[in-house]
Amino acid sequence: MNISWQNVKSIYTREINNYFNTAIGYVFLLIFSLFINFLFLYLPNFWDVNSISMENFFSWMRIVYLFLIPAITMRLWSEEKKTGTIEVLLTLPYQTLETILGKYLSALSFLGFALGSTIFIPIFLGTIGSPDWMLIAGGYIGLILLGASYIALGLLISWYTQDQIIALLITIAVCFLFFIMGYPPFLQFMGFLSPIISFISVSWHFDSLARGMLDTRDIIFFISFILLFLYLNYHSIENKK
Amino acid sequence: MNDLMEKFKNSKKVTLWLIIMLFFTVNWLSYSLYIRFDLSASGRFKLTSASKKILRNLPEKATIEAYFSNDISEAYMQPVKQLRDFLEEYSSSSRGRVKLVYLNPDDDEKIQQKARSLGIQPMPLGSVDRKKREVSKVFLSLVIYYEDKTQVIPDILRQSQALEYFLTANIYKMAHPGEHTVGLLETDSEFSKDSRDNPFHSLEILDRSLSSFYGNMMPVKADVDEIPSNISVLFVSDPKKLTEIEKFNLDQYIMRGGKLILAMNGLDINFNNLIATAKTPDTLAFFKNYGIDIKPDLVFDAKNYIPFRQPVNVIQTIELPYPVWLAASEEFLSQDSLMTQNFQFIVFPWASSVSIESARIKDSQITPLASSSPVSWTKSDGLYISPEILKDSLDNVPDKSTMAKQSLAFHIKGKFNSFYSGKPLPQGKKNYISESINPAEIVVVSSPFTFTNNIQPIHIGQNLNINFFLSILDIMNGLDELVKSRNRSQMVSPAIGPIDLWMKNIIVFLNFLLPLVFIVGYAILRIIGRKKVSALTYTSQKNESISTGESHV
Repeated sequence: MNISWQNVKSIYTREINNYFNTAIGYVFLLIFSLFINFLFLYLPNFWDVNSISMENFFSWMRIVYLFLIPAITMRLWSEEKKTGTIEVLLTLPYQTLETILGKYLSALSFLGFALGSTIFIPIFLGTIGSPDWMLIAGGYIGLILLGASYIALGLLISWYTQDQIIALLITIAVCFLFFIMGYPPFLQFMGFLSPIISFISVSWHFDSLARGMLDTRDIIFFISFILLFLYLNYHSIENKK
Repeated sequence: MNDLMEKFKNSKKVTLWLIIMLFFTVNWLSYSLYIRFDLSASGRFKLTSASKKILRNLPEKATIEAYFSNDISEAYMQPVKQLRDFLEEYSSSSRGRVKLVYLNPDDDEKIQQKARSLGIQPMPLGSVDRKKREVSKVFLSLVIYYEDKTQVIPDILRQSQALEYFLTANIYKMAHPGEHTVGLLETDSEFSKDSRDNPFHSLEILDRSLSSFYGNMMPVKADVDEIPSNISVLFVSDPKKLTEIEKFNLDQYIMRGGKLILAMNGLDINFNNLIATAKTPDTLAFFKNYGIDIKPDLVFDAKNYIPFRQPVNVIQTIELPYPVWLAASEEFLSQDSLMTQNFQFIVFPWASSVSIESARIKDSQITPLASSSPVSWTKSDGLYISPEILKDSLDNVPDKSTMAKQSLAFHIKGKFNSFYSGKPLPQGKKNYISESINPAEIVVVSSPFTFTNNIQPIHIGQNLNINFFLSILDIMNGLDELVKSRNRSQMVSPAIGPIDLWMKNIIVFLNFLLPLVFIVGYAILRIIGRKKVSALTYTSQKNESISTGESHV
């Protein structure tokens, strides 16, 4: 299977324009930016905590992602289905994988832009003290991998629905499921399955990265998770064709 | 058959299941071969070079048996995962000198029996959720084997904060038994490791902290025999009065190149009437012979002190300024000496000022370790130390010109003259060494309360103070590398420095504003870009239609 990156780029450009050619994309980014800054600075109060660290930011981002990523991915396939452009798209001389990659990378870029708007937080930390820059870099690597995994998941869910809102709600629910899989209240009900369940939890793997430990096991998990869900998406589309 | 195989190969469902299986297999395999990179600047997740050096140079191989239950309460899964990761890293960093074996006693009667024979019992591990409280009994213990020696660590979770130091210290102690013995001079002093009456006089926690590496402090009586030669460091805590024989033996210990930690202030603190009174000058004069001049005063610090918490009722307390509980912060601790490097602060309760007369020490190396802040002053004999009385002392501080930094601790190396040079020897003593044969080493700390069990609220500095003592011991015993391993466990995220309110407001404001500028700016750039593109498109279309003769409305 030869992938034409020119085709991927065409799909990517189309999708990224969909994010940025309307005011909704910007309003969404503005709300995200204000919200995450508020959470970081006031819950708990940054000055009271008295620590030059972004741990609190990374903790909140895990929760914010549960809503941010589904909102980014909800329309990727479902809107095409609703407006009927899916038929045109799938009959274009593009391979399924190229279409998936174009859409996936555009969502990832949008997420990158959203994360880019938080770059002022570490900059300010640098002006008032000496934060551990490598820990911050590790946290951001973790956020990118976590986001990339959720996007792959959200892209698949978006394929199965025609309604954006339904796609949003299901993606929130499934992301939440993968998130809480690593936490005690959920594992409590899983009995002997809890070690396996916790292993496939994204939060379980994100925790190490957020602490500043770059572990090949976590990297392999995230990459294989992304590839698995992109393949599932590919498989679903090919079945439909 | 071939058709069947072909169908099987082309089956999308088969591929799908193979891919899912591949996902699990790859992840499963990743657990058997993995690399971890510690991104933190302090390297807090990696082993220190000190531990690596000690482990790699072990004369014999050590084995760590980890008795870990698989069925761990969910609340502890993440900490236990971190523990396992750490132990694996610990073992692999030793380059084969430390073997790690996991044993799961959950369903194995033989392993349970072995654990019991080692004195390991399953420990209760509780977790509380909103509906119920769950307590399960699990095994989370380590056993270290070195030659014929066995060391059991029954509750590994309790040690997880400083596990690296704890393990390394235990293995080192097993590999080098009795190499470094710490002696505690038993003399006329209120300070002892068994003191029960007053926590401020008890060295019990210090003794317990020392035991993992150096073993318990060995009581040393100097009133009859000379100080044993196997004592690597002698700790002398606030002797009230030394007999002539004690003085002689202590003097000769120093002359032989002994290592001494002296914790002593210049005033006696009387806890019954809360008055600080002058000490017997005799003892102070004895140490003055070695250049150590502990003044009969107490240091007051208007800036770096720990307040006294006065109970108002059963629930509430108020904080009273108490400028005689000095907290020497990082900037007033020597950053050139490993003894005080990386400490956030060290608490010196009721400390006196101390100075060193270098003229009395040959080939001297004198390192000031700690001092009070520049807004400090001293007060002498007959002082009331009641917080009620001292709370107003900050309102009546002396003139600035009379305030200055006061030295609180020194590290001295050099050769000394005997206290008995030109003096009559104690009865029964005929020979003595009049000048140091080898350079001696003395660390003087001007508060004997620095290393005792403290009470609220200065107990917050207790771990740091005990680590200060351990660092002194490590360095005096030539184990400089080990200090780094221990000090790392006390590192925390750096704190924010003093910032004015207006600056805070500006930072918060900009933190909200700049992302908005970034997003809106990008939007404007994009709109301008799009307008340019559409204008270009329109012009080219217009030119095209003119050339083909079409009309535009």
